[in-house]
Amino acid sequence: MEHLLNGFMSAFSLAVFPVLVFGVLGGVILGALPGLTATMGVAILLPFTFGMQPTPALVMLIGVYIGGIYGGSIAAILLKTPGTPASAATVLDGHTMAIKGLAAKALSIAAVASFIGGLISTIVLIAIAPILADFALRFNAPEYFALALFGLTIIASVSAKSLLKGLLAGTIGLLVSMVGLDPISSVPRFTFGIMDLYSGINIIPVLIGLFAISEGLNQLEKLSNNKQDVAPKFDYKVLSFPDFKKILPTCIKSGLIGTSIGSVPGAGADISAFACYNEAKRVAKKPEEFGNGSMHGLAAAESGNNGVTGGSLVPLLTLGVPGDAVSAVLLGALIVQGLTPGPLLFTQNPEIVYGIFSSMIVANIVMLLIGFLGIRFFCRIIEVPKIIMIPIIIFLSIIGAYAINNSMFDVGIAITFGLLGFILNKLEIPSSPILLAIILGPMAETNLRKSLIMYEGSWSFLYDRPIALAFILFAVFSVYSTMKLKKRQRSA
Amino acid sequence: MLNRNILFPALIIALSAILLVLISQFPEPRFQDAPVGADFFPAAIAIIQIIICGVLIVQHKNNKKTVKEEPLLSSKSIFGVVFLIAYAVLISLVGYLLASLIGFTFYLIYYKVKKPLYYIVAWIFVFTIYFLFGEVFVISLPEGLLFY
Repeated sequence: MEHLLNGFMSAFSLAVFPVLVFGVLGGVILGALPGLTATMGVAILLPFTFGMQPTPALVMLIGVYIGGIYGGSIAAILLKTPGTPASAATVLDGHTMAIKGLAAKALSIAAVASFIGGLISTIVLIAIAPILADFALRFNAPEYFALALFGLTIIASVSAKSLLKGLLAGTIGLLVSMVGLDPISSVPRFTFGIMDLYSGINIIPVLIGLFAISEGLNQLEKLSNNKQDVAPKFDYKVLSFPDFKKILPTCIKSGLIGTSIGSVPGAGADISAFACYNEAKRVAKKPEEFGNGSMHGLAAAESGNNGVTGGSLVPLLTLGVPGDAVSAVLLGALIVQGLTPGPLLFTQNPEIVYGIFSSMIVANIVMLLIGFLGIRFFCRIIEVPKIIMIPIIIFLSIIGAYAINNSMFDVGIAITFGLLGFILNKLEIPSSPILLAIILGPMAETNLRKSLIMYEGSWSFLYDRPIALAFILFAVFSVYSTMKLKKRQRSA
Repeated sequence: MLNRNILFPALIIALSAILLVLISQFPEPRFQDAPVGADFFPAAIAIIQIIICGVLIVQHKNNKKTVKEEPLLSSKSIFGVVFLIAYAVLISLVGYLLASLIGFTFYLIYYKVKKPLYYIVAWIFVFTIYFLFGEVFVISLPEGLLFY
């Protein structure tokens, strides 16, 4: 407790607080730009921390991380362009709310849910970090395969009208995820001798293409001949207290799920957001509202993705194992500062560890304030006439796709998937399953094959490992409940 | 006339069949100790895809409802696709700044926008992004093959 209080004093000190605010603000701006992920934001600012003291340096990077994950939701809600993969699930309900004139409400829900998710995650990180890390340490290939399988069942729930069309989109995504060198034996698959394809297809240009470019083309098609179109009318009403009370249980539950998923190495904010969205839909009284501007759907996705922020630091700080790409960059930052992540960090440098913990709580509060104070400013984006907005979306998408690897090849990938998403939209085939399958496909394949090697060709790992079995049962239950739900919706 | 709900699944079936041929030509790894090889997953997915598309075609044939279809690509969406590709080509030739200024101005002229404010906003946006990426975040933007 003493360490934590000292940590709070450090977080509000003149040396730390300004860099914390700068980090969160920078993260929000970076996250809101399509193509610039929280990982990229942390990586970009990493060199600036080399000359800084360890605590402000790490606090600034964690501020960027927290702000970046939230920032992704701004573009997702207002432009249907997820700034980060973690915000892909936010589009489903957030953007629908925005086009209904509830942009301010959607942004405030995103800010509050992100805050709750992030806060829960930080509290859990402080309280039970070692226990969770120990649990995650028991995960091996069969558990990861079962987790990926469970994640893939979410395809069933994000398949809007037709389950078969959703599955078809899922298989397209799985095949795309298999381009490149095979993860076990390094056999090139579907590379056609093109060097850029050997490392596989990068998820970010795919995401930009499927969501941003295809949306730009959709908007262009709908553009009325009257160019001076009237800006959509919407009110600036933010989340009311009764609505807050309604979404609070969803936020808490999603925050806890997000923290658990984040603490499993390899499972990031994108998977968490979809898993929380699926769970919220499964237990909802009105599941038909999901995808049509549901507050619960938006809150679940946002709380779920920010819930990962603390969770991913659990294996990093306690075991020295990064939970996702961002924590891998943070691992680099710790090493640069001469610190060795692991159990000894808690005993040798408690002031830094608890400084990070306290700053995470402060960073979440700063993020909430920025989120609320910026609503009017963010909402102006949607008031920009479409005739101007469409090329802006297209230009940002192209630049975002290029900026990932400074590669025109990625621009080509973004355009290809933009056209694919546009055509699939016309055929009423959802795009989200493609993204989900690209994220989870490699995890499922690699770990299934590793499991088969471990068990010498036997499939018994599916039922003789309790954690794996639990995930498989969750997966079966998830598909069953979704199918039952869809049947009920059809008969209603 | 062929319906898009039949044409698209049929196209996917054809592509999956081609993929199955390609999968059968995957090189053998030098050392293979795994019970399933690199071809197992893609082959399984391609077969599942063929089955799903087959069911979708049958489902559509059995569906008695006839819905009047809009054309898949309208003139506006064709312009959008051409604009998108042209911008990507231009950006690789002359770089971000010039390509974006030309692209945005051409787009506004194409849509016969007369308000000067729209042109000013467009140019300010282009320069702001150039400054934000290049100077603040130090992220390189395409410089263009002609000026490289």
